[in-house]
Amino acid sequence: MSSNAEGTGKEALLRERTARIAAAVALKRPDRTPVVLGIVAFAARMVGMTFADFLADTDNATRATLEAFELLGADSVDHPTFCASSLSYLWLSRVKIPGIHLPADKPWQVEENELMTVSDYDVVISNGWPAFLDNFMRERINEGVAEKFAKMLADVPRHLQTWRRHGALPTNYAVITTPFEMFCGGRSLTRFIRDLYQIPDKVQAAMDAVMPYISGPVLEMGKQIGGYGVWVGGWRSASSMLSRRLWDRFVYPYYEKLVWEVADAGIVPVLHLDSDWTRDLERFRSLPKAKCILATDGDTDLFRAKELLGDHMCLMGDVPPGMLTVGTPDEVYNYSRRLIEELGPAGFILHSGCDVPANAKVENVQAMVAAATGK
Amino acid sequence: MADNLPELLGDLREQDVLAAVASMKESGVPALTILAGLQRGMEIVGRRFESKEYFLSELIMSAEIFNSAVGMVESLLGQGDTRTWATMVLGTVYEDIHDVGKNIVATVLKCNGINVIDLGINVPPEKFVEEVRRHRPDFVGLSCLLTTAFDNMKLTVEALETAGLREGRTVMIGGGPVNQMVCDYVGADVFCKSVQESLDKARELKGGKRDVV
Repeated sequence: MSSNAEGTGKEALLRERTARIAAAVALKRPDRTPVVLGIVAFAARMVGMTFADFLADTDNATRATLEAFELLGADSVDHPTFCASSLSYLWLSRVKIPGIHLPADKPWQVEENELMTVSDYDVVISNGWPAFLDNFMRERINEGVAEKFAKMLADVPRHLQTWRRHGALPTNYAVITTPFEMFCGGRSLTRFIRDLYQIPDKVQAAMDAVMPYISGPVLEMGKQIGGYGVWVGGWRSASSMLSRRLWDRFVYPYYEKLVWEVADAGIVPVLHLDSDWTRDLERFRSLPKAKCILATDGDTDLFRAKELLGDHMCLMGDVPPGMLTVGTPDEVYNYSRRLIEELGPAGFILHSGCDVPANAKVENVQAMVAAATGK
Repeated sequence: MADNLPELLGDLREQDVLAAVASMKESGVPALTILAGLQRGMEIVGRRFESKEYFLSELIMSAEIFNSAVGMVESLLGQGDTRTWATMVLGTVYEDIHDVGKNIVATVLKCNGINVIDLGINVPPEKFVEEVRRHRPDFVGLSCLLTTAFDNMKLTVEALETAGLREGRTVMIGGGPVNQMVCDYVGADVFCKSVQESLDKARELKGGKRDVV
């Protein structure tokens, strides 16, 4: 991995931080527990940037995230930059944007509606996913989302270089997810559940038609730019949402395949899992050993994950968003220390449960960082 | 057919449920009897959820089947026939537009005999006050997905207190980031992490079970 970090100081810092995180992923004991920040909307708030400005250009998003990161003094962040259009690609949904649909200082929100119809499954199967997706984005999402997303992809290499120059490498350079998540967003949860019951073979055929197109371009990009990790996201496909029968058929085979594809490309799969996946944690032993990060949001029992997966994959999490928002620094610090002591010292990265909320107290995030760094 | 209607719904056999309802209707079975059978089916679903055989997917599917089946006999039901044992005013609080979880809660609670007045999304505190004053519910349900909506939950609870409408009713909160700490912060009574939990807590607090016909 090449680095253009200015001066030996930033270069050494980049090596130190990267090695610390890599040790945790490899289930070795680093010099101390790494702490990675999931700061997106929070970064904007912390540096006094409106959400509208944050989303207007990826340069703004990178600048705000980097500035907040340097003020907080952690080891890394989740993403080098941010573009709301990426959410439309993950969940086939429109996003309400501050400054356009919402006041400039209100956070963006995904709007779930039935944009994908039941007949679209046949279109995906017959016409192929790339053609369907392109048409879907332009005709049913619109608002220039396709162009904005393409620009973000083109900007990522430049933003990664910026981070390297400042002595850090974001743990992810891209986000992918399973066909389940995309269809669930596009159909809406209720309609999609009905589809799983009423036309399961059709849904599965459409999912199979999507799979070949998910990881390839992302992994190719990663090889070229020296990207570290890729989020493989799971939200509505959590164990708590679905019976085992549905999860076994429509979720895990696809999730497992994507994770192996990422790992086989030499990139770290970051299993970003929202809601409760505790029921099926043991299944994750089929994933590559000492290559993945299991990142949970506070709903999955991370202590149970330690019992079941502690010798198999790095754990990351899970200071609750509610605690970061309405709790006290002492509460955050004590819980963070508990995580470090019970889930570490090897194979653990301290992180918030999912993103640090936009309105988290700065002193609480500082307390979380201090629990790991001792500063 | 009438005898195994609850089991058919409990097993989520949609076409069989609808066929059974059609047959019962044809045979002159009273709509109220059909409704009672469907509600017993929902109880089977609830028990299977508690035993972790069923999950949210099955709760959603059961509610869909229930609503389709009730739709077949709705016109035959008298105004007082759909007895309920509790009332809830429910909404996603101000400045939050997420409603998927809230909608599922509304549907499942209605299927289980609770009269749900769903105010939708982005509901300001004063609208909650207005509707609570109108309907005098047993429960007020506040939903959010954004942590930035916590303060609006708090303002809603405070608005109910100021209006003299807080006493004697239970404020329940739900949504992704909600936990006991958030519940204490906003001044709610309980928080629920699942739709079944909201139903169970409502039953526990109200002591309610609908009359079986």
